[in-house]
Amino acid sequence: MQAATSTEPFLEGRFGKYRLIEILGTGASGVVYLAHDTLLDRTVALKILGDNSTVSSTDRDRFILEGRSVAKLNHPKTVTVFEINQIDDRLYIAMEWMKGGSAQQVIDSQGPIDWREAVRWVQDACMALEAAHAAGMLHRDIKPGNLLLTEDRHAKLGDFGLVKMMGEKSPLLTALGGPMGTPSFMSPEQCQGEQLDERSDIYSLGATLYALLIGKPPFQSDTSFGVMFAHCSSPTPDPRAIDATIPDRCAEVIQRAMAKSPSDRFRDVIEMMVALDEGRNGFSPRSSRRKSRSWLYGVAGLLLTVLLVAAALPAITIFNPSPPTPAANASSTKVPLPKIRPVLTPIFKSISVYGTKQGTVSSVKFDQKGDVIIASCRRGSLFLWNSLDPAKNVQLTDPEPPSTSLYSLGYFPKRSYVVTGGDRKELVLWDLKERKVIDRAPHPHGIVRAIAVSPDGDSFSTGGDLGWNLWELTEDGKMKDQGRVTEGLAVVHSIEFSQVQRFVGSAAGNGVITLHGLMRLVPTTAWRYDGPQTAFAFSKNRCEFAFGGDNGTLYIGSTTPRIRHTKELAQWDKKPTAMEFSPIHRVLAVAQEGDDTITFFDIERKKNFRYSTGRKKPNHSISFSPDGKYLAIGNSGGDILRAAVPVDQFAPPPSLQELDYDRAANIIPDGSGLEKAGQRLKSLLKTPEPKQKP
Amino acid sequence: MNDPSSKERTLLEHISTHWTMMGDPAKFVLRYAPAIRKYLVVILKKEQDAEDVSQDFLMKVLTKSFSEKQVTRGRFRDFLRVAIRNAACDHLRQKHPAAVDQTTLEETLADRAENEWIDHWRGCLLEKAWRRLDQFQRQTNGNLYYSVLRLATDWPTADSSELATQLSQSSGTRSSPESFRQQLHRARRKFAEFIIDEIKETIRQPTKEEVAEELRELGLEPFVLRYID
Repeated sequence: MQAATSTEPFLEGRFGKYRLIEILGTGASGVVYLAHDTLLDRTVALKILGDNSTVSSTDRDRFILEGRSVAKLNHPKTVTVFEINQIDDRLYIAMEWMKGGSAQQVIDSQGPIDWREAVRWVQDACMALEAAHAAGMLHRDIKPGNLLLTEDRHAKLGDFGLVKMMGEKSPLLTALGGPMGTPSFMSPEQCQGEQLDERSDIYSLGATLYALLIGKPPFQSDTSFGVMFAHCSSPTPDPRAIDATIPDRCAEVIQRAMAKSPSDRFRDVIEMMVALDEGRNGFSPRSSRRKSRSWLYGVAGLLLTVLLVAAALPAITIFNPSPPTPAANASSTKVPLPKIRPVLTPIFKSISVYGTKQGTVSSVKFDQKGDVIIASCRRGSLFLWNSLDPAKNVQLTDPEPPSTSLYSLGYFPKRSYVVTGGDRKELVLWDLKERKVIDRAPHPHGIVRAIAVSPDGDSFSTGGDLGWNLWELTEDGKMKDQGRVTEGLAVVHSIEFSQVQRFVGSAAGNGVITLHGLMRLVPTTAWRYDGPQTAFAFSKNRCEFAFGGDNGTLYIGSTTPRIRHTKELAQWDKKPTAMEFSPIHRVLAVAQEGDDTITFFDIERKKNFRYSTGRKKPNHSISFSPDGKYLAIGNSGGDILRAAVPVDQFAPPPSLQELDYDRAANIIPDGSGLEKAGQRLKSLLKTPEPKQKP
Repeated sequence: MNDPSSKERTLLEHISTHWTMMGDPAKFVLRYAPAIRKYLVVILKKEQDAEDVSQDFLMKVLTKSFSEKQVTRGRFRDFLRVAIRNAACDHLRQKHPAAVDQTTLEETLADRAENEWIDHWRGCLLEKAWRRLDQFQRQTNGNLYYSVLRLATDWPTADSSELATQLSQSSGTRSSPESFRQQLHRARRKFAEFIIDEIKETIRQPTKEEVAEELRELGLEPFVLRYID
């Protein structure tokens, strides 16, 4: 709501189907009432614009735009709009009544907010803004007064009265010539009436966090102009100077969000949200964080020197003595990247094939012994292919219509269960011994794109349209929903459990790679890349992971505490459709879109080997056998393949002593995952003891 | 990206008279707020004093409009500098009434802070040009001028092959060394164009000579003119 007071006379009694109860607030061009919808029997907040004699056509257009924008977003972290309509010549918006009032009202009545709650509110706003920015909208009026609280004190973003589409040539100034917004929370570029982008909202969000923590805005002055001048010129105040209990990370987030230059701020609200989460969970700042370009605000003498020197260079290098800026938060390695081996790809030396004739084989897994390959197909069937004894082959089809296209499967070796999911937005649990469906559950995130089973086989996670879910497999064979994680409204293409740490890693359509701590289901680290990320894999025995996507590059990352980072593994000509680490060697197998080859990246030797299946059908899914000697491959021609992995070309597997166990153990409270990984590796690497002669 | 219009013209010859800042001094002050504030800190040596004077100065900006007579040599930068210095002198005289006379004070301050003022002014001007280049890239589909120039600036010792690789990584589009060099040249030209645009707004009669002189005084001439002629 605007700060100014409306001159509009207050309505009393009824307004159409609404019974007006009391006034919640007044704005520049209208009044917000608490009202009761007598038809639907619910209480709403009713924002009524003045009549035509008191409001301009611009106000009316803006009012309609606000209603449409919020309705279009329809996001759980924005205030819900029920209706936008007109009675006589008075426009109104009926929206969700936020019983907790606004964050500003809480500040006014109770003073500064505890930093944990303040961070949570700002993260809620981040989620709403992520959706708005993805839809091309700028809010332009982020402030505590527009963080509206539910009864249980969760925040939603409200008042989209100043919303503007990015790149739209709408006026930046009000009719009076002043910039639009609330001066105490406006970005420098907003104060100056410049073109805005999403980083302006990030600045306002930083100022809002400051106000929540301290109880007053970061800059104060006798005039609005004075406040705007401070936004443009004064250093951002440190909230720790007023309240020493505020965590360093919170203060750092404010400093970065409120950087004077947009390019020094967070790239987007996701990055800010993750940074806040690191603070909330006590993690140290990421090593790849961008450094401030202090040159803009100092080092003036040096500037001219650099200029003059630069002018003399053939390739001019202007202005900046600042350090390199890592792109997309990825490690900025300068080491030449290995090239993918081109053409004349050899065919796997040993390969056997089973044709399902059931469309693309979307997912493949070896059973515990490595004899049977379990495969799901796009036409809805589940296959158990025993390559050693074809008489034992089994085809299972869900008896319940309608037919479904299966996109993924998860295998529970302890119990011989399989969970499948696809476009029917449902999870189906199969008992392979009984060869029947034993449980079903609707998938909260729509189409099931990916399934991963935990190392202990008691849990699994499913990726879908708007995020992913964690599930528990109960002892009586039921699937129990354990929690939901949204990924910025993006499709989760790939998901996997870490074998040695308590993480779930995911790759999403918005380019975000996230590691979630399983204890609290919150993102502990995230990186964002350009273009959707389509494949993700954890190493089976190291603090290592890999991923890749549409931007044509494969990355490898480390999850070792305090040195989490990613770097490029290889330039790639097509996006990967599937990838998996060998359980034995430090090797990553990758299938790529559109061809029948598999590339093995030997990370230890920094070499890669590419083999073709010879089937001339693009590979879609892969999985290593438990001993790492075979690879199960599913292709778009409906073939399940069992190919011998060229292990003789790989570097010897690392010894147990060389593994990252010591470092990994630092963050695993009970070490259980580590222990299991160790036991498995020991059993696989164990050399048979020579028999003693009698 | 192709930018045919930039090939056909010489920017300095297309300068029109539009001193927009005269009509909106408040906006002008906000655009150069960092320079104003730092100039005051240099003069007064104390953050708090600078804060106090800036508030007084802002009130004057809001309540009194600038007139053409107040401006020397047609440059807003000069007028602003004098106005700020006067505000600082007033403040010092009020604080220490008997200490110094007005003329001595002004001369002392002028000597101390002149270079600082130019440096900070140039910093603001370059920041504006960077922001406009950033926005230009965001609003022009497929354009990478900002990214290219930023990379070349951040990695001064890297060759075009390394920079092209880095650009491919960060932008997700493949870039060869040759295309990187081409884009860099165009980006520099566009950047120079934005610098000229910004300077034009601060000069009352932005003739070619006036703009060139301003570029010279700010130390930008060798760089900018190289890309626009």
